Amino acid sequence: MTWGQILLSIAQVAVGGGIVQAILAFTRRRSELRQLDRGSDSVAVETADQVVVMMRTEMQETKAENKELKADLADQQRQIEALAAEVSSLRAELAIARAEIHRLQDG
Amino acid sequence: MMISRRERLRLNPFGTVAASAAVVLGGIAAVLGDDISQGMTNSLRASAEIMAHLWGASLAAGGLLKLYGLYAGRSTMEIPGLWMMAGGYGFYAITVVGGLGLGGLAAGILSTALAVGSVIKVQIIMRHARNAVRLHDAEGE
Repeated sequence: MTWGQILLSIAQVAVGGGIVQAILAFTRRRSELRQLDRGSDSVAVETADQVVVMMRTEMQETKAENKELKADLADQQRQIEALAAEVSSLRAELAIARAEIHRLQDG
Repeated sequence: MMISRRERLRLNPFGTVAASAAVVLGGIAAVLGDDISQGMTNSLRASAEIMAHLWGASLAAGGLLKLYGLYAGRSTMEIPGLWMMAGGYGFYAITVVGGLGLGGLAAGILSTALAVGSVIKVQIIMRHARNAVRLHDAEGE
Protein backbone atom coordinates (compact mmCIF):
# COMPACT_ATOMS: atom_id res chain seq x y z
CA MET A 1 0.00 0.00 0.00
CA THR A 2 1.52 3.28 -1.05
CA TRP A 3 1.41 6.53 0.89
CA GLY A 4 -1.09 7.91 -1.60
CA GLN A 5 -3.50 5.04 -1.07
CA ILE A 6 -3.28 5.38 2.71
CA LEU A 7 -3.98 9.09 2.40
CA LEU A 8 -6.88 8.44 0.08
CA SER A 9 -8.46 5.99 2.51
CA ILE A 10 -8.03 8.39 5.45
CA ALA A 11 -9.60 11.21 3.46
CA GLN A 12 -12.44 8.95 2.38
CA VAL A 13 -13.04 8.00 6.00
CA ALA A 14 -13.24 11.70 6.87
CA VAL A 15 -15.87 12.58 4.27
CA GLY A 16 -17.64 9.23 4.58
CA GLY A 17 -17.67 9.48 8.37
CA GLY A 18 -19.25 12.90 8.07
CA ILE A 19 -22.01 11.54 5.83
CA VAL A 20 -22.56 8.49 8.09
CA GLN A 21 -22.76 10.71 11.16
CA ALA A 22 -25.18 12.97 9.30
CA ILE A 23 -27.47 10.01 8.52
CA LEU A 24 -27.18 8.73 12.12
CA ALA A 25 -28.05 12.16 13.49
CA PHE A 26 -31.05 12.39 11.20
CA THR A 27 -32.39 8.91 12.01
CA ARG A 28 -31.48 8.43 15.68
CA ARG A 29 -31.57 11.93 17.15
CA ARG A 30 -34.59 13.26 15.33
CA SER A 31 -37.01 13.32 18.25
CA GLU A 32 -34.51 15.04 20.55
CA LEU A 33 -33.79 17.70 17.96
CA ARG A 34 -37.48 18.26 17.28
CA GLN A 35 -37.99 18.73 20.99
CA LEU A 36 -35.20 21.31 21.01
CA ASP A 37 -36.80 23.26 18.14
CA ARG A 38 -40.20 23.23 19.83
CA GLY A 39 -38.54 24.23 23.09
CA SER A 40 -36.62 27.15 21.59
CA ASP A 41 -39.78 28.40 19.86
CA SER A 42 -41.77 28.28 23.08
CA VAL A 43 -38.87 29.88 24.97
CA ALA A 44 -38.89 32.76 22.47
CA VAL A 45 -42.66 33.18 22.87
CA GLU A 46 -42.43 33.02 26.65
CA THR A 47 -39.64 35.60 26.74
CA ALA A 48 -41.63 37.95 24.51
CA ASP A 49 -44.68 37.49 26.75
CA GLN A 50 -42.68 38.26 29.86
CA VAL A 51 -41.28 41.41 28.29
CA VAL A 52 -44.77 42.59 27.32
CA VAL A 53 -46.10 41.94 30.83
CA MET A 54 -43.11 43.71 32.38
CA MET A 55 -43.54 46.76 30.17
CA ARG A 56 -47.28 46.90 30.83
CA THR A 57 -46.70 46.84 34.61
CA GLU A 58 -44.10 49.55 34.25
CA MET A 59 -46.47 51.65 32.16
CA GLN A 60 -49.27 51.31 34.73
CA GLU A 61 -46.90 52.27 37.54
CA THR A 62 -45.78 55.31 35.60
CA LYS A 63 -49.38 56.30 34.95
CA ALA A 64 -50.22 56.04 38.66
CA GLU A 65 -47.16 58.11 39.50
CA ASN A 66 -48.17 60.69 36.92
CA LYS A 67 -51.64 60.95 38.46
CA GLU A 68 -50.16 61.43 41.92
CA LEU A 69 -47.83 64.14 40.68
CA LYS A 70 -50.73 65.95 38.98
CA ALA A 71 -52.72 65.85 42.22
CA ASP A 72 -49.69 67.24 44.09
CA LEU A 73 -49.37 70.03 41.55
CA ALA A 74 -53.04 71.04 41.90
CA ASP A 75 -52.66 70.97 45.68
CA GLN A 76 -49.65 73.23 45.58
CA GLN A 77 -51.40 75.65 43.22
CA ARG A 78 -54.27 75.88 45.64
CA GLN A 79 -51.83 76.55 48.46
CA ILE A 80 -50.18 79.32 46.43
CA GLU A 81 -53.55 80.92 45.77
CA ALA A 82 -54.41 80.79 49.46
CA LEU A 83 -51.08 82.36 50.36
CA ALA A 84 -51.55 85.09 47.75
CA ALA A 85 -54.97 85.90 49.19
CA GLU A 86 -53.46 86.06 52.66
CA VAL A 87 -50.71 88.40 51.45
CA SER A 88 -53.18 90.78 49.86
CA SER A 89 -55.35 90.87 52.97
CA LEU A 90 -52.27 91.53 55.11
CA ARG A 91 -51.27 94.36 52.78
CA ALA A 92 -54.69 95.90 53.15
CA GLU A 93 -54.42 95.65 56.93
CA LEU A 94 -50.97 97.19 56.80
CA ALA A 95 -52.30 100.14 54.78
CA ILE A 96 -55.06 100.63 57.31
CA ALA A 97 -52.54 100.51 60.19
CA ARG A 98 -50.30 103.07 58.44
CA ALA A 99 -53.24 105.40 57.88
CA GLU A 100 -54.13 105.09 61.56
CA ILE A 101 -50.53 105.95 62.59
CA HIS A 102 -50.64 109.06 60.35
CA ARG A 103 -53.92 110.12 61.84
CA LEU A 104 -52.61 109.72 65.41
CA GLN A 105 -49.35 111.59 64.64
CA ASP A 106 -51.24 114.45 62.99
CA GLY A 107 -53.69 114.59 65.83
CA MET B 1 -40.48 32.32 12.40
CA MET B 2 -39.74 33.57 15.91
CA ILE B 3 -36.24 34.95 15.43
CA SER B 4 -35.53 37.28 12.51
CA ARG B 5 -32.87 36.52 9.92
CA ARG B 6 -30.78 39.40 11.12
CA GLU B 7 -30.92 38.11 14.69
CA ARG B 8 -29.85 34.64 13.51
CA LEU B 9 -26.85 36.18 11.77
CA ARG B 10 -25.97 38.12 14.90
CA LEU B 11 -26.21 34.96 17.01
CA ASN B 12 -24.38 32.70 14.52
CA PRO B 13 -21.90 34.73 12.47
CA PHE B 14 -19.27 32.00 12.19
CA GLY B 15 -21.75 29.22 11.48
CA THR B 16 -23.29 31.29 8.73
CA VAL B 17 -20.05 32.15 6.95
CA ALA B 18 -18.55 28.64 7.42
CA ALA B 19 -21.66 27.16 5.79
CA SER B 20 -21.66 29.79 3.03
CA ALA B 21 -17.99 29.06 2.31
CA ALA B 22 -18.81 25.32 2.17
CA VAL B 23 -21.61 25.99 -0.34
CA VAL B 24 -19.41 28.20 -2.57
CA LEU B 25 -16.30 26.01 -2.40
CA GLY B 26 -18.26 22.75 -2.65
CA GLY B 27 -20.31 24.03 -5.56
CA ILE B 28 -17.25 25.07 -7.53
CA ALA B 29 -15.49 21.78 -6.75
CA ALA B 30 -18.54 19.75 -7.76
CA VAL B 31 -18.47 21.49 -11.15
CA LEU B 32 -14.74 21.82 -11.80
CA GLY B 33 -13.40 18.73 -10.01
CA ASP B 34 -9.78 18.56 -8.84
CA ASP B 35 -8.75 21.69 -10.83
CA ILE B 36 -9.76 23.61 -7.73
CA SER B 37 -7.05 22.14 -5.47
CA GLN B 38 -3.47 21.29 -6.39
CA GLY B 39 -3.12 19.49 -3.07
CA MET B 40 -5.96 17.16 -3.98
CA THR B 41 -4.50 16.46 -7.44
CA ASN B 42 -1.13 15.62 -5.89
CA SER B 43 -2.35 13.48 -3.02
CA LEU B 44 -5.20 11.53 -4.61
CA ARG B 45 -3.57 11.14 -8.07
CA ALA B 46 -5.72 8.86 -10.28
CA SER B 47 -8.90 9.13 -8.21
CA ALA B 48 -8.58 12.89 -7.68
CA GLU B 49 -11.09 13.87 -10.36
CA ILE B 50 -14.02 11.73 -9.18
CA MET B 51 -13.24 12.27 -5.46
CA ALA B 52 -13.16 16.04 -5.93
CA HIS B 53 -16.58 16.01 -7.57
CA LEU B 54 -18.05 13.85 -4.81
CA TRP B 55 -16.35 15.87 -2.08
CA GLY B 56 -17.63 19.13 -3.58
CA ALA B 57 -21.18 17.83 -3.79
CA SER B 58 -21.10 16.56 -0.21
CA LEU B 59 -19.59 19.79 1.17
CA ALA B 60 -22.09 21.96 -0.71
CA ALA B 61 -24.98 19.78 0.46
CA GLY B 62 -23.70 20.02 4.05
CA GLY B 63 -23.45 23.81 3.82
CA LEU B 64 -26.97 24.09 2.37
CA LEU B 65 -28.42 21.83 5.07
CA LYS B 66 -26.68 23.83 7.78
CA LEU B 67 -27.88 27.18 6.39
CA TYR B 68 -31.44 25.93 5.93
CA GLY B 69 -31.48 24.36 9.38
CA LEU B 70 -30.08 27.45 11.05
CA TYR B 71 -32.35 30.01 9.38
CA ALA B 72 -35.52 27.90 9.45
CA GLY B 73 -34.88 26.94 13.09
CA ARG B 74 -34.74 23.22 12.30
CA SER B 75 -31.99 21.32 14.13
CA THR B 76 -32.93 18.08 12.32
CA MET B 77 -31.44 19.64 9.17
CA GLU B 78 -28.68 21.61 10.89
CA ILE B 79 -26.97 18.63 12.58
CA PRO B 80 -26.58 16.47 9.43
CA GLY B 81 -25.36 19.58 7.60
CA LEU B 82 -22.74 20.22 10.28
CA TRP B 83 -21.54 16.61 10.15
CA MET B 84 -21.20 16.77 6.38
CA MET B 85 -19.36 20.08 6.63
CA ALA B 86 -17.02 18.56 9.23
CA GLY B 87 -16.32 15.59 6.92
CA GLY B 88 -15.81 17.81 3.91
CA TYR B 89 -13.48 20.26 5.65
CA GLY B 90 -11.60 17.35 7.26
CA PHE B 91 -11.19 15.69 3.87
CA TYR B 92 -9.82 18.90 2.37
CA ALA B 93 -7.42 19.42 5.29
CA ILE B 94 -6.00 15.89 4.90
CA THR B 95 -5.59 16.05 1.13
CA VAL B 96 -4.12 19.56 1.01
CA VAL B 97 -1.51 18.85 3.69
CA GLY B 98 -0.80 15.42 2.16
CA GLY B 99 -0.45 16.85 -1.34
CA LEU B 100 1.49 20.03 -0.68
CA GLY B 101 3.21 19.29 2.64
CA LEU B 102 4.34 22.52 4.30
CA GLY B 103 2.89 24.49 1.39
CA GLY B 104 -0.58 23.29 2.28
CA LEU B 105 -0.25 24.00 5.98
CA ALA B 106 -2.13 27.32 5.97
CA ALA B 107 -5.16 25.89 4.15
CA GLY B 108 -4.86 22.70 6.20
CA ILE B 109 -4.98 24.47 9.56
CA LEU B 110 -7.87 26.71 8.53
CA SER B 111 -9.82 23.78 7.18
CA THR B 112 -9.11 21.64 10.26
CA ALA B 113 -10.33 24.49 12.46
CA LEU B 114 -13.59 24.66 10.50
CA ALA B 115 -14.05 20.88 10.79
CA VAL B 116 -13.38 20.93 14.55
CA GLY B 117 -15.68 23.93 14.95
CA SER B 118 -18.48 22.08 13.18
CA VAL B 119 -18.11 19.05 15.46
CA ILE B 120 -18.07 21.27 18.58
CA LYS B 121 -21.23 23.01 17.39
CA VAL B 122 -22.87 19.59 16.91
CA GLN B 123 -21.96 18.67 20.51
CA ILE B 124 -23.38 21.96 21.82
CA ILE B 125 -26.66 21.60 19.93
CA MET B 126 -27.02 17.95 20.99
CA ARG B 127 -26.46 18.90 24.63
CA HIS B 128 -29.19 21.55 24.34
CA ALA B 129 -31.44 18.94 22.71
CA ARG B 130 -30.93 16.46 25.56
CA ASN B 131 -31.66 19.24 28.07
CA ALA B 132 -34.82 20.14 26.17
CA VAL B 133 -35.97 16.51 26.30
CA ARG B 134 -35.22 16.36 30.03
CA LEU B 135 -37.14 19.61 30.66
CA HIS B 136 -40.05 18.37 28.61
CA ASP B 137 -40.14 15.07 30.51
CA ALA B 138 -39.96 16.91 33.85
CA GLU B 139 -42.88 19.12 32.82
CA GLY B 140 -44.94 16.15 31.71
CA GLU B 141 -44.72 14.38 35.06
